[in-house]
Amino acid sequence: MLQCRNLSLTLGKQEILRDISFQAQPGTITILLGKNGSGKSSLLSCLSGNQTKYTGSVELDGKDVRSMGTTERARALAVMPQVLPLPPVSVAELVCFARHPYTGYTGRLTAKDREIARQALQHTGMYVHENHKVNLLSGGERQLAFFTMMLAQQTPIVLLDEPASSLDTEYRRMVYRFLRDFRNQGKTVIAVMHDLSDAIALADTIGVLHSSHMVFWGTPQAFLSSDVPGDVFGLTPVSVTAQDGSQFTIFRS
Amino acid sequence: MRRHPLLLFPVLFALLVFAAFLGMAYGSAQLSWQQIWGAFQADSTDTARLILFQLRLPGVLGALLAGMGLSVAGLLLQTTTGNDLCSPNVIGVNAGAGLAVMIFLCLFPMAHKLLPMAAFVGAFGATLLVLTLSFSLGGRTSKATVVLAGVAVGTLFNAGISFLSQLYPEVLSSYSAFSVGGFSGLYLEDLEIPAVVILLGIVLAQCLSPKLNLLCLGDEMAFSLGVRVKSLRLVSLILASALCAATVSFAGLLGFVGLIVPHMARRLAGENIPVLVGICALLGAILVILSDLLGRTLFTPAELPAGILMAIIGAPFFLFLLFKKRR
Repeated sequence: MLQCRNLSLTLGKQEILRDISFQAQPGTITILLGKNGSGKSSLLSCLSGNQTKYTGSVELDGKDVRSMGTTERARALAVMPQVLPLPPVSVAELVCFARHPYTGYTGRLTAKDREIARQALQHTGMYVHENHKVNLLSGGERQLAFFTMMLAQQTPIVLLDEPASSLDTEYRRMVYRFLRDFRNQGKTVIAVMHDLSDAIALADTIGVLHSSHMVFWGTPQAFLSSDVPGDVFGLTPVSVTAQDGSQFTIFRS
Repeated sequence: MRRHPLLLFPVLFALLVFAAFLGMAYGSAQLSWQQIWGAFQADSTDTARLILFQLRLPGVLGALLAGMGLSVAGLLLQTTTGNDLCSPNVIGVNAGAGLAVMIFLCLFPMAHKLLPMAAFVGAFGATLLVLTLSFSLGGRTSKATVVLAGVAVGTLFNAGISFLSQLYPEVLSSYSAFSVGGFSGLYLEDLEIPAVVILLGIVLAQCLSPKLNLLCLGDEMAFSLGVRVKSLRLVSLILASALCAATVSFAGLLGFVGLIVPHMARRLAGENIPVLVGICALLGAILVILSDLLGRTLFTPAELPAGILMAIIGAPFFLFLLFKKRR
């Protein structure tokens, strides 16, 4: 379980986050929403241990992230940043990088590590691109390559910063499928997103950041029935029934 | 077409042995392989043994060590700064060594024996200054601040060299011999300490290489995979500066090796740093031995320092890289 207690972050004179507290349970997807500059990415950075200059605490199963060793943390938390790098390595090599926290001082991969990487490539279908250079893949393929890498890292917690922001509908659907896969594997998934409709469809829990504060934390249903969509985003949720009878939510301004 | 990296090692090692043999055999006087073999067996004529042990072997070993040290340093610098055009010059090595040698020549014009020590201290001191400045400017040793601090320190130190050369024009001839870089006048004992530093440095670089591999993912992802990015960058930069300083101490300011060899190695063997460390060391050694050999044989009886020949080869290659990057 990932627990955040009274987390506040001030950089220079600017208050980024103030008194944020929540718990994210295993086997759930938590989506963090908020306008640009509301502190979502900074919160993710604190959760990952990359940003440590905050007050309060972030705990993994009761242990403070800041007190964890680098290897211990890398075995517990996988991170996908908002802007993905363009490494000049093959997809297979990239996925093998995910096994680094499990290799010893020599950095040598075992047969087990290679098997885990191969299974991850099979699972996401990226084995067809395994010899392709990551920096030459399309945006969607690159995103999937990094998902494969996260899968091979085998961490109980995955943190993603806008994992589908620049993808077309097809790749976006694939990304959401992988997020659900992570949830079904019992992982704690925390993702920053901008699309409210997608967030409602995907999340078990929604957190809304506004002006450095967590102004909402609850289920998608509670979010829809609250004033938050209107107050924070200036949007009104509308429930729509599709021709096949399924219901979904869209937002109108 | 990319060759299998592990197949390259025996090929490059054989080429290195061949280049070393050529380096020992050719020069103003030619030695046959029987004479070389005989000299090692201590049953050859005195002249052949004298030429080999007093002239050729120190030069070849010096070129081998310089090629290895500068190439691996260049690889470390390019990897840690994420800048393909980074080389030992950029972190202030040459300017630091140059200024220290210039000051030493001005103060102690007769103490030539201590010049290598001055060069080492200058090179290593300058890079430590660059790292300290970078730490103060950027909070930590970030990629950009290292390069910017290196350029600033290099410019300042080069101004110091020019200033001293105006005040003490009599030391210019000694300084120019150091500044072009080369291996003439070397003794085997001159190489003992640099050899230990360079070989130890390469072993350490090999140990760091699996973690260096992850830096291509950017600091945030490398951190999430268990790499202490800032510490790794700092240790790698100190290691690179020690390799460069050890090389500068006996070879002078040998330019372009640290820039071009990592690029050549990447084209041959890909991007895997653990493989590239060894490939760079072998390729750098071959290149510098051959440059030194060409310098000694192309214009016989005159000898062209290896540094000048490296610049003649290196400058067009540098331009090629720039054009290729633009495309």
